[in-house]
Amino acid sequence: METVKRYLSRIFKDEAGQALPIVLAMLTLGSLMIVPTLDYTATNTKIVKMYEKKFESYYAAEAGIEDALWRINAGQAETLPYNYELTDINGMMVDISIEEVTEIAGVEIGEEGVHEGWLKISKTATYDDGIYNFVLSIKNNGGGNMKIEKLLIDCPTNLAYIEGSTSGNITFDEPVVIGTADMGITLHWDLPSPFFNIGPGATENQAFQFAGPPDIDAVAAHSVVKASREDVGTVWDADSKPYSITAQVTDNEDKIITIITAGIWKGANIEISCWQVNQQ
Amino acid sequence: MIKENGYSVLSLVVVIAISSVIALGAGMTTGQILEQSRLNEDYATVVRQAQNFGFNVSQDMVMARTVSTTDNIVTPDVEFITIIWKDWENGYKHDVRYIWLDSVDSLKKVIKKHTIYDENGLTIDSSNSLLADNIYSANLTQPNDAWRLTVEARSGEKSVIREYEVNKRVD
Repeated sequence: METVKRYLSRIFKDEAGQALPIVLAMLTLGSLMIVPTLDYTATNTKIVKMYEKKFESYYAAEAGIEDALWRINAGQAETLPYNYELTDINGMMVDISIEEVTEIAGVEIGEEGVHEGWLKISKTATYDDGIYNFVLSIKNNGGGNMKIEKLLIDCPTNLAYIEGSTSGNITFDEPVVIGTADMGITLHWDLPSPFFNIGPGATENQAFQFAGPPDIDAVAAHSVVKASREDVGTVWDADSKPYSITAQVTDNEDKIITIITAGIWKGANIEISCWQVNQQ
Repeated sequence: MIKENGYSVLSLVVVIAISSVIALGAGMTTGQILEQSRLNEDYATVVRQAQNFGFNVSQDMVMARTVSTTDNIVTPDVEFITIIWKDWENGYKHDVRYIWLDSVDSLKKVIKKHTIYDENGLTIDSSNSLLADNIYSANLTQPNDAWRLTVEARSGEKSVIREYEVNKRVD
């Protein structure tokens, strides 16, 4: 017991000046712990904010697309490209651009407005036991002979072209089938010369078949025709008009956060055919 | 004042007793802090994983032309969501598959496989990314016109269930 007492008294005598190293040691320990703790908390906060910003910017871009759809529907975007900006959507800036589409599925479809209305395109589709019988009618609404050079049909999803089903006065040739049924196929007839001629006021039919389930609105397929007239040259026309809308969202540091590109067909209704978010 | 020659046994016992109480309290507090920190980390992990998974699926769903929630038996992967869309101008097909890894375990990894095919069906780009590795379950259903994604992530004792309602934008 005496030895323990001696030992302890040796430890506890001359205590003056021990407070400083003890406090320093505790401060060091505290500092070591506080930095990673704060860093961890800050990282989590940053991640949550980042997701919030991404969602908010997506909704801002979506609002921009909806605004553009409204303007197209209201006939405001007559001259293309039509560019404008919306300020302060979720605190962000949305730049919107409405442009004409000159290519569908890699096939050139020409610029809009070239003698628009000189061709009249109409379609019928009847369903019978897993097969859609599709008839495309083209009327020459102009005053001179019209030579048909190219046909393009952009189809809804889940329709498969039936090989060998093409018939009609314009061509019996098989189309090039672009894409697969799960993404929606595009049929392309690049007709050889000499081109089929449609006289003034005449209507010609082109028929073909699809296979698919019964609940598809096959007549919703969009058709584009390229023709030429001796006096005016190339004539493009379509049963509905394609537009491309891009909404680009930037934050207050001018950094681009979200870009949505929508491809639409405007006929009797507006139909969204393509919606791409932040595609490179 | 009585002159003290060293410490009495009593004072030593008192000191040891007080020290023990302080040490016990400090130990318990430290233990609680560490436990809470671990739980916080687990919670942050599950929230982050569910959020990341939900964000990716939601974003891809709005672009989809067709959606499948069944495994494609032709491929060796275990797909549970397949989303397909096309870029209408160049005709490129985007095929995005959400794949389970370690699907026999209770917690699964989710891989996103994005392949782009050109208009002739040739692969022009392909990427794989790990989205989450603490997913317990994920279901994509279509109870009405909208699709609903329910994802449950777990880590340690923490679990979180997130639900996302998504509308396809392509007609």
